Amino acid sequence: MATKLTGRLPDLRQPVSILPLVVFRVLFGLLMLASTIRFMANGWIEAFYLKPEFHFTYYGFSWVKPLPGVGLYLVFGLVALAALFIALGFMYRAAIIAFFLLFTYTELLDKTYYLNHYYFISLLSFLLIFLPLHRSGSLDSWLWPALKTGVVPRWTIFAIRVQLGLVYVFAGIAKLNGDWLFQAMPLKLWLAAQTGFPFIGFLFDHTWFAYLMSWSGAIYDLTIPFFLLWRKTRPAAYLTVIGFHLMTAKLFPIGMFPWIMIACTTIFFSEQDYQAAITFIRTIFHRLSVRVDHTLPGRLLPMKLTFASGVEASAGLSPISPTKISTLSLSTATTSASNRPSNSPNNNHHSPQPSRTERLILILLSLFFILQILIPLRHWLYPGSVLWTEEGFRFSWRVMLVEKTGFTLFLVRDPNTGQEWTVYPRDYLTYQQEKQMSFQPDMILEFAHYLERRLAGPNQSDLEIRAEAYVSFNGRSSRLLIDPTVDLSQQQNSLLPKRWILPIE
Amino acid sequence: MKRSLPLTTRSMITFSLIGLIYLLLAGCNSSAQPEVSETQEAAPPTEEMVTGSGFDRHELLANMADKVIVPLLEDFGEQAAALEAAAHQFRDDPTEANLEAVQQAWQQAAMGWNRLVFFELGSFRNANGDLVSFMEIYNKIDKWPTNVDFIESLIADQETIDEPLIDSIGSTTKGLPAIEYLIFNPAGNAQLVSTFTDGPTGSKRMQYLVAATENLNNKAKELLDIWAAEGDNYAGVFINAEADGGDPQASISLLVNQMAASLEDIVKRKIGHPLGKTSQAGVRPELVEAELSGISGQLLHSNFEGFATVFNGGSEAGQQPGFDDYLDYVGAEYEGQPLSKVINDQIKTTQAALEAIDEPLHQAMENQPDQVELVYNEARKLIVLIKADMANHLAVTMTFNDSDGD
Repeated sequence: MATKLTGRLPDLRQPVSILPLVVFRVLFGLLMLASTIRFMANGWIEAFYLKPEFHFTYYGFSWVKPLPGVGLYLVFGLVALAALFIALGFMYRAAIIAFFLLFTYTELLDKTYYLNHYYFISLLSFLLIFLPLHRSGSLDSWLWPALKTGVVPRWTIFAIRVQLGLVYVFAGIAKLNGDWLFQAMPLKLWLAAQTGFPFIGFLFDHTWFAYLMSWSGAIYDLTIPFFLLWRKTRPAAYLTVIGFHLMTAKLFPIGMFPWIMIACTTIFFSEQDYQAAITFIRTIFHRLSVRVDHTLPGRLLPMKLTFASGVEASAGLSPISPTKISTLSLSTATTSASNRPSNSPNNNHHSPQPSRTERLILILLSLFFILQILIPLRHWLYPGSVLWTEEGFRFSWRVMLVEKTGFTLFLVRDPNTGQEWTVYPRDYLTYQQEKQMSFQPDMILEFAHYLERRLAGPNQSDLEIRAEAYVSFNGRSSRLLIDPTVDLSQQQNSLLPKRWILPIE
Repeated sequence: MKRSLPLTTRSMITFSLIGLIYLLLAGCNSSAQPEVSETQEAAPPTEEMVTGSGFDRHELLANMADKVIVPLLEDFGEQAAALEAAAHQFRDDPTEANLEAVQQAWQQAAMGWNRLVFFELGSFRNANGDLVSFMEIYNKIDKWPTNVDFIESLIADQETIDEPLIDSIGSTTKGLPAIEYLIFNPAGNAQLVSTFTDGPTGSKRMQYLVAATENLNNKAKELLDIWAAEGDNYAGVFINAEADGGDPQASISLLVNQMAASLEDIVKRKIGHPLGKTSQAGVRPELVEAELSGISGQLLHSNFEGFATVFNGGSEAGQQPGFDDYLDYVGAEYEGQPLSKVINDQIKTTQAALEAIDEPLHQAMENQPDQVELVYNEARKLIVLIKADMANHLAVTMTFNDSDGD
């Protein structure tokens, strides 16, 4: 089966320069390092994980608990260290496996802090475990020269592009809903709150502008991966990526996400693109230096650029055509690959048969991506609008899609005495937790179960717990989200549709 | 093997520009924070920079600080000064009439204070870099219930009681609730006057009262100083949203979130707890605020007055920009009606239900619990309108800068 699969896609095993993977590894490692340091510096370990007495867990992962004391700080410290090692390409496999496990552990602690881009990082770091990002331009390839290679099979780069493409396309599909397209919601609300935006802020409270932004956002998400893939549109597409994400960075408090996307999309550049850019810059410098040559005798820019593929190009004064550089680098890469034909299956492109390991990895990654196609579509299994019920909302790239606010109180009843009283969740939860819970049914249920345990005393069992949850959603009048007559303590948490969620319309 | 296509000059130019722009932007971003705050101090955002839209949110913030909050603080400052003066008068001439004057001054100060509860706006760094915490000073002025036993032990054990001593002790033994405990007693004023004059502790009780009113007056001045231009100038920080690089949304979010949080806390603690709505213990009238003075209802009324004032940026009919105008501007509706009107109506409905109670709340809890419950339910509807509807239309949770969103 694997033979068939790979046989049908011979192009994917074609050797290509490793340079895009090297650039990707360094940027990813540095950004993750910065992101982790920022998280710690903001005091979020304490505020998010250590201070709250209760945590909202993911279905099936309620056993994941924050380590007590300095334990959690140690975990974050190790995540930062792993990120640094990834950037340096030092003990790469161990570092990326540790990063994936520890980062995912921290994300599983409390779903209050769920962000699509954290999920993306978990997925990406899992994928990176199987890719040879460390085989050039790394400490590993310097310490163990046998590892060093100039070329990798095309699929290793393509896999990351697929991962990014899935994020964008599903984020685009998620925008194809009535609120987004025909009400310009929630962008209309958010833009109106940002009219102080530099230069174009005065447009933000015009409805047509909110529509323009909504539609172009949807089109951007749906098409950008393809424009990045196509060589002719790639430079313009990447400019668009930068512009789009910088704008969202300025508009919304979305942390590291824009920087992560700007860095990750560099994977769409091939070595030729880098070569062309460098050549072009060199040409400019050359022209400049010719003009000022008489004032600065000798070589103006004695640059020596070392490429990941092992090509050393001396940046002298003579212009080198892009074609020449590409030829040079590729031929060197081919030589280095053929010099060590049995070093690794990855650069053994003369062999028509993929190695067993390569086959296994390809099968595994195929399954990985099929799952990622199915998971965002699971909301079709649930009745009602996913934006209201939030059943199948997470892990689906529903980014920046709803403005939801709510106020939820819990009505507790002791059936033995008939006494009834109200619990204000703010007494048990942090601001952030209460805010997130107030409009998410599974979190409301989990808190109701927590209350039942927490309030149960020796004389008190079987407390009935009902929720009075008023939610306002994309500018609609607040209304009840949960059937207030249903005793939530009797409802089991499961992935089945929650019958006690009231329909919106 | 596929050879690279010859690249056109145009795409090379584009590509190198991308690289340069990316580097420049990355550079800008990493140094953005200090740069912004430095320029903010030097030159607050100009009109053209921040206006542009049909609704000037800086004007709303300026109105809120200069025309709503600071005047209310000044009122409270005068009331606190009057209370201190009345206490001095009572110390010099401890008569029943002078005690009554202290009591009245206290009531005025307590009511003035309760209009200010929505402005407990977190903490900030002043020009010297010191952290100024609103919560700290709010607690020193009004933290209830007060610790009666500790007050009595201080009176019994201390040689002399003066303002520095009061300033050094915890929040539950000073401020408005501690003063109330000293000057109101169900036994009546005649008997109460004697506790300030007779016996070994009488003079120390008087010292405690005087020191506590002096301390309260000092705190009122300090709070006004935090907002004043010649002090920590929080008004400037708030109006120019300096903490967030001049984005008025940051200050708006801060204020709206505090309005919601304070309102919820008031409804829960001042009505919910004593009415037995929040526990199995049943009705517990002794949990009301200001039981001794019997003005818990008036204080609650002051809370809703303060809320209406901040919501409307002054009076409902007035021209000053408030959240009512802002909601109208963004076209916020609730079930087909302007949300601003629905909220104002709900404030009035709640106030009317409260005004229908003609006795102190702690008595009403037992005598007319249904009417108190009506107030409670109407107030809870108001919380929903603020926390769910108003917060949604003003996108304040989205922009509340305490973590990342997505």
